[in-house]
Amino acid sequence: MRKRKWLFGIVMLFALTLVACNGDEEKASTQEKTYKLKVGYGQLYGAPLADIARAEGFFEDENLEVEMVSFTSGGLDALQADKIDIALTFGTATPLNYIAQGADFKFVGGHMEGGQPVVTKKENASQYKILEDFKGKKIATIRLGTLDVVFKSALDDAGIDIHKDVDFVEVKSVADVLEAVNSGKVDVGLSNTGHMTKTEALGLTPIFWSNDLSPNDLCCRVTVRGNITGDKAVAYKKFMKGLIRAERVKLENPKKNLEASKPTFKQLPEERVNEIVNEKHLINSADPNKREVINTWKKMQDIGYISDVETINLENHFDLSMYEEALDELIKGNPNDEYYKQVLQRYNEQNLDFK
Amino acid sequence: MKKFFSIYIYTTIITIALLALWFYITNFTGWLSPIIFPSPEIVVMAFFKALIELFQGFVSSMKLLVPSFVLALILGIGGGLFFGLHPKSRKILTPFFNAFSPLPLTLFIPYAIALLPTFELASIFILFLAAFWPIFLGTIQGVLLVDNHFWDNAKTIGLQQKDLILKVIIPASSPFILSGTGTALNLSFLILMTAEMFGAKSGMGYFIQFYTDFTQYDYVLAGLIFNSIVILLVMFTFEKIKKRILFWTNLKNEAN
Repeated sequence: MRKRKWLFGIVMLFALTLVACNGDEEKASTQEKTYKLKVGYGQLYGAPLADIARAEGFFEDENLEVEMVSFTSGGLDALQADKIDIALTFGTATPLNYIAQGADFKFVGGHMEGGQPVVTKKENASQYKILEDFKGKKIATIRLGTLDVVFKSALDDAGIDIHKDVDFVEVKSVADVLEAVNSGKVDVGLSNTGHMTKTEALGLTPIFWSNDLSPNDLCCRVTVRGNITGDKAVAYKKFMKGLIRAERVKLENPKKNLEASKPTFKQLPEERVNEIVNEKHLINSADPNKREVINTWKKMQDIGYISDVETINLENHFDLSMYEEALDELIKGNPNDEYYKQVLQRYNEQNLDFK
Repeated sequence: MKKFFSIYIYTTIITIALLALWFYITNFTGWLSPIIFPSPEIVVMAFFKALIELFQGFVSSMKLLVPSFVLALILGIGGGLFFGLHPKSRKILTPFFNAFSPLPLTLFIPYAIALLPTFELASIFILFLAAFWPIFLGTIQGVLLVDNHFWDNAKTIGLQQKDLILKVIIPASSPFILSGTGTALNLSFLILMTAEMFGAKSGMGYFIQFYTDFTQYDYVLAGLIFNSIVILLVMFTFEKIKKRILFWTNLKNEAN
């Protein structure tokens, strides 16, 4: 009898262990899977929305691990070679140029719009009131930069021949643009976001903003490549959800944007980081803005940046389903929140209800 | 030591004079824009503020430079000896050497990113290309210019191929190999900025590129000074090694 009790004890212990293990398994299976994304960004712009989403734990909420990879050059090559999953801040014109060359890139969201100034010396600023005033001038530009396309296209629309009536001088960086204007080698320069302190310290001033030349002028698009299915689609949706939430934080609390962005900009003084990420002309929007991407594609053809693209159907280079799903989940999770309804309305206007 | 100081005292005087000139122009004249040419004291402040970042950059850069340079040395000297000793192969491939060696390395960035599995390996590849060609071409040149009497003597005493290479060809061509190696070292530092344009989080070239993009010239100059000190120390060590290897030449009389 004593022996039986001992045996009974062992059997019970074994049974309890099994139940316990089974319980753990059930727990593990209900725990959500972790997703990983490698996100490339151009270091000149930083990545404000992604930085906010990381700092606020929005990606963690989604079980999404995001590794940020910085680039001065080669970001879209890295996307093309599958070395990164998302190219975040490489403009609109540059990925469109890759698409024109046959790249299978897809736009899934947005990150930046506007905020790029045309600058000249303060004493010459009064010479430039309308686009006609740029005739005969020497203009420093960075090829395929957002303002490069927007400005040339605005001149073209105003009937100014960009090859004959003006003289564009191509340089490599914003620093080169500012020095070219400052030293008098050119009359005006097409600058970029985040350089206002330096611009003013050099005795230069903005005469036009990209926002004035083209409302909703697009900069960085959330660009991915290939067919997006399965885990990739889920991860991208989670990423977009983080960006949509981050956009709200930036609008409601720019200070949080500044704090989240500081580590990305290393030793730069706080006021400098603030002007890069919180400049008033700069709009950080996660909306894909298909309408304006298509407009940019047309502008690039008008100014001769891309040609023979009739065989390319740009529709195939958008996948807005992840943004839609992300927004849908946010609306369902916050049914009384007016903010997300406005975001949806903007999405409809910029991506669906246009011709 | 006495000789060392007697020569470098002038170098020190020139350095101090240049610093004084820089201090004077930036503080007491309006000749230069203070944005692009910050005064030395501002640069020194930036230098110390960024010191940890500069050292992190040094470590990151060495992780790229050392393996790329070692690989360039092995393949450059090995390949150079092979093509130096095999005229037919050399003649066939010389057009390729001439065509590829002067190509700008930024051209290779997309290919390096596409073909190599990590960003670090892509950077190492770019740096390897920078260092490889001068060593490789210097070695070929060295082998071709080995004095005839060395060949004759080697033949007379009946040296085997291995001994011929190790005891005659390499020592005789070492001035050219080392000259190519010196050029390769210089070029490697020059190309660091290109190699650290993608995927890097820190680095000596990355530091300068980063702050140039933001027109933060006090940090740019602090980075330039830091890099110059590192390059100076590396070249000083290299010259010491070179003199020891080339003990039979006039180099030993050069102060270092």
